[in-house]
Amino acid sequence: MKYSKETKNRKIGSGVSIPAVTLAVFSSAVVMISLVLLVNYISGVVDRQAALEESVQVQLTEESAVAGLNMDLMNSNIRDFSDIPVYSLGGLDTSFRMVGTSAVPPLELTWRSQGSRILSALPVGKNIFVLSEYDNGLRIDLLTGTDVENSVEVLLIPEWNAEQYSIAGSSCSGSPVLFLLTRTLGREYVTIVSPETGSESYNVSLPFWNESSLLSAGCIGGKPALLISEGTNQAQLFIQDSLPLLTVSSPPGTTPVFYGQDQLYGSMDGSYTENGKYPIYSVLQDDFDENGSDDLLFIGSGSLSFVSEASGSFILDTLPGGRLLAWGLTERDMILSAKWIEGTSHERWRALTEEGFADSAGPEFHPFNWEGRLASSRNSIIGSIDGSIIIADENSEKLITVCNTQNAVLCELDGEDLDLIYTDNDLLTILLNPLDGDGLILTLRSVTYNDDTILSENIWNIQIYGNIHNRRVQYERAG
Amino acid sequence: MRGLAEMKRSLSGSFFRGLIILSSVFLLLTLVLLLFAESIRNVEDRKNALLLANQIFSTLSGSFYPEVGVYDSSAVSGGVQYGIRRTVSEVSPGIREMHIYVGRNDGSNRIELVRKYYDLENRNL
Repeated sequence: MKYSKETKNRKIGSGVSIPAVTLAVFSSAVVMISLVLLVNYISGVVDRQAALEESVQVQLTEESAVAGLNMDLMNSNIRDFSDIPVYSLGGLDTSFRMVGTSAVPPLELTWRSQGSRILSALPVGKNIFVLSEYDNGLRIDLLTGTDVENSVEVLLIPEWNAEQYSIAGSSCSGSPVLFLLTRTLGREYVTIVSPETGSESYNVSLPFWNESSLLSAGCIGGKPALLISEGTNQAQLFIQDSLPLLTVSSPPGTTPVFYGQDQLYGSMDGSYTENGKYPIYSVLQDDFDENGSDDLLFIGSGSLSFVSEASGSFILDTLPGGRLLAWGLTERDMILSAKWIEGTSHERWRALTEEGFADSAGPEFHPFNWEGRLASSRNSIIGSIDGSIIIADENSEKLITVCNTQNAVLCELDGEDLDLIYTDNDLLTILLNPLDGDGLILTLRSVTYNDDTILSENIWNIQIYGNIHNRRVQYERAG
Repeated sequence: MRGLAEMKRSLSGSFFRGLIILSSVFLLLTLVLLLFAESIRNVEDRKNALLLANQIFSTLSGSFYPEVGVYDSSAVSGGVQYGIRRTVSEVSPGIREMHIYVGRNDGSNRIELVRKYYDLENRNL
């Protein structure tokens, strides 16, 4: 009876036992808690995913805005830095507010060779071939434009024992081509190096070649071609897969060269007999008469010849007993000028006029001992003084020594203004647009927002270089 | 003896009831999980799609300027194939807008991102 009483006490209502009810209650609680936790977790994951997607779009909108600002600054669309437009994308807006400004020196890019010492750097269009020592060999790298971080090794010669070498480069069928002329064990070889086709070597027999010989590379019928000149009006022409060498001649006071778009200055029909009266040691190509087409300037120790590409006119200037010391575009008006020395020290400047070369006062603001090539901008002049590349600033009247003349070359890597490439041991430096003077650094705060909600804030440093006609802008996130 | 037999019967009855309740709970939980599995899969898809879109944008940066048109491709992430559509339109001279749509091949769980590109080579447009 006692047992029966206790058993009855464990049942409630319609005969369901207490443990079963407890189990059901606990189970329901577990289910409810699990459900709530799961719903919270899932909605949390969904919310986080949505926030992640929005943050990516915020980042893209901000990057697009900075790229748009970059474009507007390059095109000089923004006159007032305190009134920068708002850039919109993907339903979001980005605005900029100026935090500060300061001056920055011309932009310098550096590249370190994987080999050891850099032997030569040769600009070809917007590319640079760099030759450097590599143990006992030679390594050739190619830098594309100002993208110095992505250089390509185009050739590695493990054992290089050339007694003498010279280089020249050109763009052929859209690809940069390097000519490496070497003398090994008394024999001469032309090696054509290209990132597209690798390298090919040819044994050539040159009637002359020394370190002062002039090399000019170009393209004939789609094939790389090389002119080797002793500085006279005759040169030997090498064309890939085509031997023997051909003879090309040009008027006295000039030497055959390639110029412009694969054009050859000189003729192959023997129009001019050999004339060594005006030995040439350098050739310069630029639009000296500012008519939109490049002209040629042949520089000799005692002669200066100007060939206008547009009119084909040829002007030869000589001074009896005079030595040509410096040449190039000087002054704000970009006049082609040349500095001569008569006798031992009498300096005389000659400038190109419509009637030919005539006496001039020379660079008015920069009466220094210039040597070699000169180039100018509105406020600065770059050239060589006592073996160093110097920039003379008209505003500050300062002379800035940049580098040694021997390892430096002026070229147009970036836009239309001159850039300077120079090497020191295993380091190559590209000084972009040094004639434009200092640049400007703008510090801007960007705010990306949706309606009134701020989604992202950043600080940007915008570096502006160049002039209104050729402006270069770089930007980076500062914080 | 009688009391023991009654207790056994009572316990056996409770065991079966408990089993039924636990089975019901298990079934209920399974049902709930099945209900949310679709949501979890959607989130997983969108996560992978976002990862793919981000990778595409990171390769199309710097001075890149896209050609106008519609470009379709696909990629596999997490063992699932995703369809990628890029539509590039010129919003004004020198400015192009690229929309990237990444989602399952059947068009579900598609995310959309947009970026503008500027023609820095041909300035003063």
